[in-house]
Amino acid sequence: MKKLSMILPLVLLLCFTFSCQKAEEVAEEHNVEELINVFGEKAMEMWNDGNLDVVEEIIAPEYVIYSDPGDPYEKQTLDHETYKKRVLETRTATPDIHFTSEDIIVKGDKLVNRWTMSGTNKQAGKQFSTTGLTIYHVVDGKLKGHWQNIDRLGLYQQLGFTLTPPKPPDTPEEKK
Amino acid sequence: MKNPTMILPLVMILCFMVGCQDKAAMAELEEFRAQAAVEEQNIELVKRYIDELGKGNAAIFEDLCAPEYSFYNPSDTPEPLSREDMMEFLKMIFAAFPDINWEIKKILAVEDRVIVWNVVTGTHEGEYMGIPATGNKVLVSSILMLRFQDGKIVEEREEANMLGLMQQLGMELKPKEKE
Repeated sequence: MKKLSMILPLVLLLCFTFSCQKAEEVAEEHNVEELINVFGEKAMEMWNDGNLDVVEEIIAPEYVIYSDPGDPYEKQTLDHETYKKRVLETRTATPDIHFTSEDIIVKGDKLVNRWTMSGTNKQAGKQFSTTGLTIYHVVDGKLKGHWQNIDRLGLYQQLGFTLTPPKPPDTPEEKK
Repeated sequence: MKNPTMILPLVMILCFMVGCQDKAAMAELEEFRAQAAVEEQNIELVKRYIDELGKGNAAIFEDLCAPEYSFYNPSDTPEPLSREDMMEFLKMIFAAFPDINWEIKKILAVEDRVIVWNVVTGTHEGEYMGIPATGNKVLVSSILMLRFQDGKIVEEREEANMLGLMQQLGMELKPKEKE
């Protein structure tokens, strides 16, 4: 008779544990989906439409550009004001800039975006289209920093730049 | 005296109901766990892939990459390299940078994908893309997105600091001369 009063709570505990585990996994999946949606929508609003109000919503107060060769703010920690400045500078250089996400995946505290960027560079007066891969560091639903590589070589070539070998030393300049 | 005999079937019904509802949940949980195991396995495969490339072993492509493998650098190029193209390309890379090494700084896996942030180093001791050996030491970052299918790599997309690499080899970026 006593056995039952011991077994019952154990059995109920067991059933409860299984349900709880499942709930945790489902909760995590919903967070991932939500993050992908928020990023896909709000980040695009910021970059494509220039809506800087979104910055407070999705960017952490201190944003670290861990690695982004070619970016003027590489290795810096940006506050919101500086972050907005960076967005504005990009949009001023290319007023019709448009980012498209080709692939967004999330795992733990990382969001990875594979993307295309296109527009008309004002200074060069040329249209371009280039690609990038970015790993974002996400904390409490906000972007806290990134590691990024962009096809800047392709970008510059489209803007009319070429790679030239250095002039060998002690060689007179060739006349055309 | 009657209570236990009444409670027992009630408890069994309760567990059965909870158990049945959670059968779907249990199946989903199993699926999550299986996926996590595959993700761990894919990470180990990518680590091995990069490790072997660092040893100059281009044959690893035949081991770890599917015959239909495609390599994209830049990440969306309309002209990806095939597995055979890559093996040829790597021969050139190994001759150009005999001490080439890819150091994994960050690696993560989601479903059928693995993402890597790498730092690539080497000494320019042989011709690279028409640039004669300079003896320069290079260091560039690279981000990879690999996709697996049936335990093999079917797709690899890379964005790397190619501009930086060229500049480290002495090339200069100049506006095109106006005619």
